[in-house]
Amino acid sequence: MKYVELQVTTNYTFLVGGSHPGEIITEAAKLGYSAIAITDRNTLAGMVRAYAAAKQTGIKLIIGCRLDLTDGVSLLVYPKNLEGYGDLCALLTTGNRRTEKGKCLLRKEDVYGLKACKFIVVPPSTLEERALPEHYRKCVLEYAERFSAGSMYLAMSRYYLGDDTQLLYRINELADEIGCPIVAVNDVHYHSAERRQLQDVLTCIREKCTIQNAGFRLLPNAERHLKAEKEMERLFRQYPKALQSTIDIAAACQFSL
Amino acid sequence: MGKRYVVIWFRFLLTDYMIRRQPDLKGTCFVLTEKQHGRIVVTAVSEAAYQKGIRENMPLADARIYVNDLLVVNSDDQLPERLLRDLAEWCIRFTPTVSFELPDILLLDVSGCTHLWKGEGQYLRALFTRIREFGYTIFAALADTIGAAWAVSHFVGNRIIPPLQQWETLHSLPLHALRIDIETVERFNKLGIRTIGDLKTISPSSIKRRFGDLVLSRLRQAFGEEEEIITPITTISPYTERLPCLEPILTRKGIEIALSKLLEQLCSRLVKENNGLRKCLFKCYRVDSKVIELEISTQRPSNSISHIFMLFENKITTIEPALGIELFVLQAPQVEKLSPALQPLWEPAAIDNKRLSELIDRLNCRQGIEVQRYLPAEHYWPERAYRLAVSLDETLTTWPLNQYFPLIIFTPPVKITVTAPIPDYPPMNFRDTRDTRLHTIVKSIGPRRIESEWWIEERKHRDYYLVEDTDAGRYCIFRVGHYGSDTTEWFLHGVLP
Repeated sequence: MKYVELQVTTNYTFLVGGSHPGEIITEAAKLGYSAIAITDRNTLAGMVRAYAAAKQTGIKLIIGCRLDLTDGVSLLVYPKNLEGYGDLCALLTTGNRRTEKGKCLLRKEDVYGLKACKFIVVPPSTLEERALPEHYRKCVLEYAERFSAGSMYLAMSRYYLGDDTQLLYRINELADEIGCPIVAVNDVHYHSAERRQLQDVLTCIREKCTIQNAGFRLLPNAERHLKAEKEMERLFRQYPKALQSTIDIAAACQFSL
Repeated sequence: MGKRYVVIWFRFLLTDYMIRRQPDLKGTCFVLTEKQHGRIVVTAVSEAAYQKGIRENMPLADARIYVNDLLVVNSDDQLPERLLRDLAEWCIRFTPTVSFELPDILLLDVSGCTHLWKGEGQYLRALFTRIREFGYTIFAALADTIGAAWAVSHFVGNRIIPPLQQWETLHSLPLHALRIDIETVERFNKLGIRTIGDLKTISPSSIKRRFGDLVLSRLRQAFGEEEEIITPITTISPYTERLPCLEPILTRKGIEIALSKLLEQLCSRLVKENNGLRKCLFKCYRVDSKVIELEISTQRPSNSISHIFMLFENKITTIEPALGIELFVLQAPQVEKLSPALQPLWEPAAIDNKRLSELIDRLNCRQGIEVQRYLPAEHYWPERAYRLAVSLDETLTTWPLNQYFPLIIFTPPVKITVTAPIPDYPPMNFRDTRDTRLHTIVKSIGPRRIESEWWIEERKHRDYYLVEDTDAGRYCIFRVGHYGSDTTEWFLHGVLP
């Protein structure tokens, strides 16, 4: 296996993900994945279902979580062992307790306290004026200082919005500058391309508008599905290190429910 | 089940209406007149005048012989149509298909409605009584066909003709009951044909040969052998918006929010129809069943949310919510067509457009020039990403810059043949099928993949590329479908000059 999908949003991120964890795992098994991570936003709610499905199909499930912060770029977190998992759960509890039910308030300072985890910085979806957004750059530089060496990665995805090549190039440039490895992800929101219509409807519910008025709030294409290994290799043919990083992270995360 | 029709004949439509408007005219003899061929002729009589012997189409001078101090009342030409239209709209509560015919007929298609009144007798009686209460003298008949109902209402009286019994009812009626003109009737009379029954015995081909299609058609319509169709009137749905609240609203801010939400819905409908309101009614239904009404009116029709809200703003302080308001209703009882020139008064942004709009008007007048303005629309699909602006005063939302949008767009896209490495790398060259010129591509960006907007139509997705060729011409091309399939086609969607 040359690739592991590390950014997957299931329907446990309400009104964003379009597939059940079970469907994701089944599809991953069909595509021949040996391991897959689930990263819902600020919650670990989907892990139990995912674990049950993974046990059935024999795929290794990597526990993960996407932390949406109030004052920084979002991070994907993967605990390496039981200690890391405990820290992550405590962090989420703290965030939940700070605000009303259903929401989670997390700040950069909270995350810096996590040990024994791997971090991936979520990339911006487009470039601004042909360069990375200023906010993203500043955040990444700060993260690079605070996280221990070797635990942070910069993610890159092909969004098929037109400036993919430039975006990947810029992220790679930044990664070289701070000495941080790159990793390839596909920002999966649903298990197969046919789910796009349902995901559009979920977006409308979330934005409280009709589908005719949704306009640019919907995603323009259906690329956010689980892709075959060969396809991921082709998409990242210029950055083979990015694909290798996925294997490294998967290997480092030995925690299992 | 066969169709059933009701015809209501207003014997004294205009004069009864006059009596409604001025009750002291009741019982007096008065007429409506018109100048015809140089003399004044009576066009409508009141019931009292009718009793005295005055008839329509009688010269006024003759009418004055019957009644010395005959009163002449003015009316306008549009009155019968307005009256009948209002009455027809009123009759919609009895059946959805209502039509009217000048000068004094209402046609109702009541198939399937009468059982709601528990029978045709009750139905017709209810209809009859309600209209009588308005003060109109009417004769109403219910039959299988319009022709039969018309004949019965005019020449027999208030009747219900059971289904398929036209012959019994109609055969003894004079030919006038068939809705054919006087001259033809007199010709028939000279031949000894006086009743509808007589006419039915003659063979249809002879009638057609000597008297034309219309007579035959009317005869057949009366007996249901030919169909007669009525075009029902359509009513405009009233301009009303309502907002029920889950919890009773107590605060002024809550009322303002409710008002602005309702105004948004109402004004978007008005804007779409290019109408503006003159009067606006804002009703608040309180928990203790009291209703508070606020009314504003404008000098000129307006559909601007900010302006109408400002007019209401001062009055909102007078609302006493008491225990709370549970329902808000916003109505526009008076709506008129908007004259476009008035819009700049409300939007401060469109001040200096006067000179620009005058220039555009002058240009448009010239031969061969048409000035159009495009605004962005929120769609990813380039064919739908722009729309024609309706007027100069529409405010601009920003054009999204990260879209691959050609400045000149070809509709429909032009087919091209392309050499491109599979699966989805930008092409190396393309040939325009219109002039078979080969363009060698030096620079390109892409692909930008756009899926179809599935709620509008289902199509294959497109991969867009912006390319530049050796002549520095820039083109927007796309490929339909995935690389793997045999039917990949490439198209040129536009140029960026």
